[in-house]
Amino acid sequence: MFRLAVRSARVQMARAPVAAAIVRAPVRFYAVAPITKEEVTSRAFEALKTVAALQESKLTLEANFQKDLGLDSLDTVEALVALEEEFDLEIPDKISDEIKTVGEAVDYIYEEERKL
Amino acid sequence: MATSRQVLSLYKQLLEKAYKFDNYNFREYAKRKIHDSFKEHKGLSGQEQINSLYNSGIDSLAQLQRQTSISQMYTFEKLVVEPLDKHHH
Repeated sequence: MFRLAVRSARVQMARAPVAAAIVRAPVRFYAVAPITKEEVTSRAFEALKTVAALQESKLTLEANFQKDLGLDSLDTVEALVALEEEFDLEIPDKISDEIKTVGEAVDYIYEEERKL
Repeated sequence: MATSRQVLSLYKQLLEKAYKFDNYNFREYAKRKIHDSFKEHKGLSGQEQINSLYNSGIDSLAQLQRQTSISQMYTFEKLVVEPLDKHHH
């Protein structure tokens, strides 16, 4: 008889949380918050500063790699590879040919990061 | 005949490979070496010379491929000069 009482108590205990769970509003947990454009920009700037030939003081989003930052074609490739490594992505040759300014590179990276 | 486009593409491939070294010293050496070798011959105009250097670059790329693969088989302690927050390598 005592065992029976315990069993019925257990059943009740097991049921209670199920009912509570249905009432509770669903909560979504995100592993990583989506990346912001500011974050992409600041990380891109940090990565670009590792390129020796680049003039840090002139580093802005509007800056053209070759005209404003004093880079030649080799340095530009180097800058793009530094960005690729920082964001762990690959910029296809077709697109990297068209990237002329820091802002264009940041835009492309931001779009790619959002796809993840 | 190697065009400037091909040379730039080779430069990019070499650099991407160089980043794959887990060991800081190997990685930095490879990057520096690639950078300096390309800069040294930047003004070259003789097609024959360009071709022979381009071909040796292709060989170096194959060599880097082998060496980075081997490098990744071993674990390396981070050096104090390396940033810890780096998300890969």
